[in-house]
Amino acid sequence: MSSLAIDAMISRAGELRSLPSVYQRLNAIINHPHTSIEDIGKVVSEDPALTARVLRLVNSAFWGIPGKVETISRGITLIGTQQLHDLALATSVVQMFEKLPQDLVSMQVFWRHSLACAMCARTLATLRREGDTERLFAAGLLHDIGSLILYLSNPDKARSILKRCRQEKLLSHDVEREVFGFDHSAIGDRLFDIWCLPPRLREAVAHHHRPDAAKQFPVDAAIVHVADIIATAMDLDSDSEICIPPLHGDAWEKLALPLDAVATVMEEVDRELEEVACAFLNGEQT
Amino acid sequence: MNRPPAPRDTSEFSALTTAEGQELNRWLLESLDAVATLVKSLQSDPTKGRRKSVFTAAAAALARVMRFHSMGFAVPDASGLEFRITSCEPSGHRSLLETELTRQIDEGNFGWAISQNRAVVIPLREAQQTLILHVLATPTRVLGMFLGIIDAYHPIISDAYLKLISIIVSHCASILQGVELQQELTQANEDLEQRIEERTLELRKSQEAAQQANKAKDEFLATMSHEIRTPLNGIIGTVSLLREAELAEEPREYVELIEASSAALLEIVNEILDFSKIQAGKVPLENIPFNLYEICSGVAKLFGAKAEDKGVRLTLRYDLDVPDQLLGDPGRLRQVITNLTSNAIKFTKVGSVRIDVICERRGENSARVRVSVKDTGIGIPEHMLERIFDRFTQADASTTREYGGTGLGLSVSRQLIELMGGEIGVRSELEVGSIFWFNLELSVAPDTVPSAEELFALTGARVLLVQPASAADTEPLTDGKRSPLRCTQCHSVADGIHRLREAQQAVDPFAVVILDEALLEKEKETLAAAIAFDRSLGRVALLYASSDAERSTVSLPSSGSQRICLTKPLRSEHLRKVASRWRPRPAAARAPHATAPLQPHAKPGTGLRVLVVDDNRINQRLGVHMLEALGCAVDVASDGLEAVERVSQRNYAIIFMDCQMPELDGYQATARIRDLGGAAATVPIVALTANALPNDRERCLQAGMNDFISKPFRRGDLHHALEKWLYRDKVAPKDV
Repeated sequence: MSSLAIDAMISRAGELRSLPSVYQRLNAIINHPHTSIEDIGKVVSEDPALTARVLRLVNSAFWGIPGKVETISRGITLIGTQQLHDLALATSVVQMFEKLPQDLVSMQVFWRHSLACAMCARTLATLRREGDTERLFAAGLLHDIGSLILYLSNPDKARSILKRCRQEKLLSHDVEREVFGFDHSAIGDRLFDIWCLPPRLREAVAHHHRPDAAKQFPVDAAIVHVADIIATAMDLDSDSEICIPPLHGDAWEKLALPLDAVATVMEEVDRELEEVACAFLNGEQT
Repeated sequence: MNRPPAPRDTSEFSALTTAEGQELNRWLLESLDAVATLVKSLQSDPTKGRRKSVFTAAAAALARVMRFHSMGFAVPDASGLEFRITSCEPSGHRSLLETELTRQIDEGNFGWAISQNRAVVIPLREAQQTLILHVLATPTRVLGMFLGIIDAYHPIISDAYLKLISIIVSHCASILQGVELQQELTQANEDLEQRIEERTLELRKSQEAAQQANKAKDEFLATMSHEIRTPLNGIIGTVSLLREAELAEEPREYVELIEASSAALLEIVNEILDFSKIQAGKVPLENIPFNLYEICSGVAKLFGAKAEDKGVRLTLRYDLDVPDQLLGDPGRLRQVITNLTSNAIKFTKVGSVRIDVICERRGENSARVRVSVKDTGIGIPEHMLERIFDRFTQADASTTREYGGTGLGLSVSRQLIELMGGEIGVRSELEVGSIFWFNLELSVAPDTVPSAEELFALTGARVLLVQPASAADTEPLTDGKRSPLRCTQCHSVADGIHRLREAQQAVDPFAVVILDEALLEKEKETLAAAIAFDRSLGRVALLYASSDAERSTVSLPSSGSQRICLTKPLRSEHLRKVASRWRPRPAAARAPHATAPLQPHAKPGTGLRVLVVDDNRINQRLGVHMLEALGCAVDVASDGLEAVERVSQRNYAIIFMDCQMPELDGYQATARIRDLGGAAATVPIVALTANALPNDRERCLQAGMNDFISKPFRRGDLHHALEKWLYRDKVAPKDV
């Protein structure tokens, strides 16, 4: 019932049924056991906009890669195949939405929060010495992708939901469930399902408000959940009427990080956010 | 699987051939087995694993997963500042890996790889090879870096390879950390054990040092008091000789002053000696029958004159329920009671001192006795009460200046009472007075039934009880049928005086008058005065009987200057005790030596030749003078050798032998004298020693001596020794 409603909503939002072809080819080549780094580099390079954006991203101080990464091949050697794949995915999704008509919310504000969340998630993952930090970056970047679908497909309802949230100090996902019977994380879950994205990424997005519901990868969901809260808290200056979602259950304990990690994350992201935002969000202009 | 591939069209990747699939499958199984083997080999006993073997096992697993041209682990060296390559495979490639390591550090790839918890792939353009870096780290610590070189510039390295490398290296890291933690733990344990051992040793040393110091202190005290006693002996002896000389009034007073001062000094020295002996645990307590009344009345008599001089009334209040014969150490008990009484009189300027003896509980074979000494002296401040029994403590320093004393007396008393299993304590109020008390549980000597002779003797003693008519109805005392006690009761002082005079005239005099404190003051004074001064009443002992409620106020001297009170109610049994104590002793029962008064001009030693052996000139002269005064002809020897020589030349009636002498001491000299045989084998040898310990006596007797006189001695001691050893069996060898 709700699955059908979500599918309808996704259709209404725009041409989102499939990911860009470059991503699909990248996926195929990475999953093939006989692939060399050169092969992967060649595939990504077929999309110059994607290539430029990914390279800008990994060359920012936030990544801290030694020397300048001039080619995708070098990027792959340094950050890894799967990591590059995750970054390319995140970047292509952002590109997809940039092509859609939008007037309801400022894309700048939306992506800025998403980017902050992505950076927080990546920093938390680094502090935990996770192997695949870019996966968390991608999950953080795309965690609210469902909201974007909602804005694009039901602008009026979305507007009234936003208004109610601000006036009555409610959380958007609660009101969304009240209005639609599901919230933006369910939409994100369904979208990732349609795109055949790996379950690990999908769970982190689907359960970023209720990390304990994540069955396979609860730590990933907890990282995105905590990153979302930190990023929202950091956003307060720009939009002080948005409520900070409450920390869920034992999400923080799951991370097994010392409390001063929060300060480390906030300092790191605060310092690098401008540069990464420039590199990432203004991709079309540069 | 690492063959360099030609760049291919991406469409080729759409499907795998069967051969490729089989190859992939084989590789997967092989790799999983490599990982499983590693996990098993390292986890079997990580505590015993050494770093080297962990690296070797990890390298073996990695080689099965991927074909490396060369590989190794970079780990920090001892300084922690630089990395060096360990477990290089093949070992000849070490320098190659080291060169590569340095370059990667310089280019920053090494640092990047450390920040990533995954394999970082770095193409090496010049060598046409590929380097794989993987940090060797646990979530909390970086331990090093894995370096592996693949002999291909564009190798096909899927994520599966890199994941396997990650798993193996991470596992290796956690095992290494386990090993390190284990080593640290072992090290910490060893350090701890060593520290404990060191501390224990220190403690033992300091304990030994403390014991040593304590022992040294005790030995010093004992030696010092011993050393003081020797010259003191000279002083006291010389003074007692001087007193016998014809002296003018003024020098006589000086001599008496010296005598009093040296006696006081001796007392102090004895206290110090006692104290150090108690501290050293060298006080054996005696357990012999004694009579507590004798001790208490003795102390009261001793201090009666002194109290009277100060205008302080000394009272002994004695509960006749206390069994006559108790078992214990009478000498030590007398010492304690003397100390408490002496203190009480010392610190009391006006008023009274009362010794109270109460039988608190009377059991089948034991009695609990409480002795307290109450004064109306200066009192003790409350904050000092707890410390007053500590050694060298008096109420304050000014007390020492004003009243003198070592401050050891109470400490010695407490230790003695505690040694006897008793309890000692004090209550005090400033300017009002103090009560020092002790409790003792003492065994009752089995034979307390008076002998028939004693019972017969009792019939001769008459007791007159003067008490008001109101007090007389407590118990009939004149039960002549059951007891031989002859007790007469009267109810007025006038009647009492009349009966005393009557009995005296009838030549059946009263021995004791017991005056009830309940009588009027004036009446008591009248009777006390009459007994003291009216010769027509005869010589009668005056005792008082009082209950706790009655305060004695009679101030006239009675028997001596101390008052003796009996606790009421009085029973026939009490009176019987009184009667037996004051009964006229039959002359035959007298012990000739113990009680015969010394006649100053008797010369029991006349015609005897005696030998005095002493290395100390003064003591030597003193002995000579005293013995010459007793009529002896005295020879002198200055040490043991001389003594043996003299004894071998002539016979002596008795030898007085100092124990501690140079060359040959008294014990050895005695042994040699005994060895001479003949008269020398049996001649009485009396030891003279300043060592006042009972086991010194033992030692003297064991050495073959016959008796023991402790220094400082008086002429009386020598006199007694002569009597004891020469006239006992009337076969004293005469001078030949």
